[in-house]
Amino acid sequence: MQKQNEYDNKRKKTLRWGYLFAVVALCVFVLFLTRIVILQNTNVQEIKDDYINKNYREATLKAARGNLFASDGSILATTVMRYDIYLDFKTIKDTVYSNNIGALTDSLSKMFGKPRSEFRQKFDEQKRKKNQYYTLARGLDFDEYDRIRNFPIFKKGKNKGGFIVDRNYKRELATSEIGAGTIGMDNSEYKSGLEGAFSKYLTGTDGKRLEQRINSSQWKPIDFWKVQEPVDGEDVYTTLDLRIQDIAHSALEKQLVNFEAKHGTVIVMEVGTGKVRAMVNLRRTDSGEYEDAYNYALKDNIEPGSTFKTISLLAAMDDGFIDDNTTVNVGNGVWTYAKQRISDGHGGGTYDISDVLAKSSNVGTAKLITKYYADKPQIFLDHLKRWKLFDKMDIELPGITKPKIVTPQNKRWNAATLASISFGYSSNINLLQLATFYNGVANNGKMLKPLFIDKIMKDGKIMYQAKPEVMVSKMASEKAIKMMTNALTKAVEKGTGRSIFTPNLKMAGKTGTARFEYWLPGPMKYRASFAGFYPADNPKYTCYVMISEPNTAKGFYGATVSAPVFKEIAGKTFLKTPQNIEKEMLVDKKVNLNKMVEPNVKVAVNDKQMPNVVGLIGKNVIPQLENLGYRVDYKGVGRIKEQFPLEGTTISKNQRIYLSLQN
Amino acid sequence: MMAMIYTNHLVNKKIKIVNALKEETEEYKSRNAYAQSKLIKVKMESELGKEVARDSLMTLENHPHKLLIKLDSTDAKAK
Repeated sequence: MQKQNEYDNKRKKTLRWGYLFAVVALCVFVLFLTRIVILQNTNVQEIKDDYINKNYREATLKAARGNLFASDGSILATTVMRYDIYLDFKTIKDTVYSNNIGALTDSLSKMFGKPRSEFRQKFDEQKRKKNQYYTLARGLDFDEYDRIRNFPIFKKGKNKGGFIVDRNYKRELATSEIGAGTIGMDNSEYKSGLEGAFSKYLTGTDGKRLEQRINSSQWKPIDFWKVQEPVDGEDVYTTLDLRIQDIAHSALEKQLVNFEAKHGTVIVMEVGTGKVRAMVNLRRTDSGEYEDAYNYALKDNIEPGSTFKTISLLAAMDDGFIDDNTTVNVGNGVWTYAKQRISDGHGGGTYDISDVLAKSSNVGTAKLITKYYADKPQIFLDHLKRWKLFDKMDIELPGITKPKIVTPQNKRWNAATLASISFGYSSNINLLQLATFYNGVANNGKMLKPLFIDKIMKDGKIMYQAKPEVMVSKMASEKAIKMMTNALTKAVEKGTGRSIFTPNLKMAGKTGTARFEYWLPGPMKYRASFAGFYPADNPKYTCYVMISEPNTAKGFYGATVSAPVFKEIAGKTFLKTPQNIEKEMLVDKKVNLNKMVEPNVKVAVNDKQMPNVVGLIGKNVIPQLENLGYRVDYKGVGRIKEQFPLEGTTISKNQRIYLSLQN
Repeated sequence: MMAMIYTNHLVNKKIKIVNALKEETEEYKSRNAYAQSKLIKVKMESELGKEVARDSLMTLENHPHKLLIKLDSTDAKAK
């Protein structure tokens, strides 16, 4: 009985513990179950997203941006790869480092032009620190990258040489110095120039696809049927002719430097098509160099000065007020009209109409225009309206300004305003608009819209081809246009532009010298201009040159400052395409062939005596002396300025003769 | 199962190759653009002018002229 009780007690005790354990186990189980349920239902989306984000992605398939080309197919702007180089010093074994660091720093020193000790010191320090991401160089081009990756240590690659490469795409101009402002840029912050204007064509449409991570750096595409392929941008062929742009750039830059001017602009348009072949804008930086950064041609409205006289007088010519027999007495070159003093700076007496333009007479122009239009200025202004000089030009490039010309409806209009307008004041016009007007005159009165796009291509197919767009089909009567062309030709041959006259190329043009900010105290500021076209009898190109704020001590007239740029551009444009010499010019003896071709003077060495060759042309003399068996050492170009041995010195064959040449 | 793992491995290998080739293509494209821009620069007359100036040569300022000689008659006798 006692045994039975003992057994029951033990059993009870065991069962109690058993039940307790079961309850605890159940509680733990319930707890786990609850936890699982909670976990399953807490932050589900977050966890799911986190997993998906880490292992799946919607990759953007970047569409390649189209290239920007010049009209001849030369690349103006393209997307290139740039390389950033980082070093992982922890990866490089100590023995590899110590055995090769000398050679490596030598190579880097040569490449970057810095002392090798500088690299050694930095590398040793980074090696000690075990830096795994030391920036060595950024933005290397391919040549530089190709060179550096073959340096000692680096050629062992990423895993043994610690050579880490980060590739970036960068939009770059093929000709960084030339036309940077005109070509412009297009990034998230700023759009400008051709890049900005043609962004809608150049930028393609990015594609998308789903990818799954396969390791730390590789992803594999999944769900192929959902791939959205990228559409690459189109290639835009601009109307710019890189050769003419280069010529215009270097001619303008040279003159800006010579005259220490603040900024300058050149526009070259093709007469028959209106295509803008060159547009250069250069401004002086703080360091004194010139950069193409701001498009003055479009964005600046200026008082054009005398280049506007062409516009004024063409209006009167078209109305038949002026013909070849018209004369105007400019007296002593000073005239007061409506209490405004108008001056030419020179007297002249009676001018015919071509003289008024050729000599750029303010008095002559104002007298003629006020004589015919003072009572009804609107008739004069209607001409300007017809020539779109009141309208903002509708061109592909952004930022063009709207001209402002004072009209009778304006508060600023007074009795003298018409006279002011006639010689280029009381009006603010951008240079492209003025160049377009001159181009119209050159194109027999057909004014064409300036074009910047030549064609748009995609995958070798032409998507768009530009055609000349007529703005004004007939600017003036044929007679008026011819009269104006003759007057502009005379301005170069005998007038204010005669300094650039050359028998080699018939040019027509008008100088302009305009004061600006004349209402402010301080030194006088000028804009020197030259607008014209060439060849005058069969115009191919129109060119407008404007140079702002030249150093007045060196010169400020359009004829001195801007016209030489025009001449250089005109001359060099045809370097590869010889122009015929006009028969009429030969008849008029304007071309002296004897002067144009220097006779080849024969050089003889008599009695072994050195002849006098000073003053002769080097290119004629040098080959003759060499053919006679002497060794010629020369420097410079042009005519011989100095010679050694001197005249009469005995010389022997194979002797060296030193010549110094200068133009 | 083994076959699946093996094919997966092969796919991954191919992806790596494709990615490497893609990168290489981009690099070649970039090299081409870079070479072209270099070529344009050296071809430009202003650059050539600077180069030849070192050899005491000057660029022409005026274009060459072509003389046209017009014959009034094709007869042997000149008028």
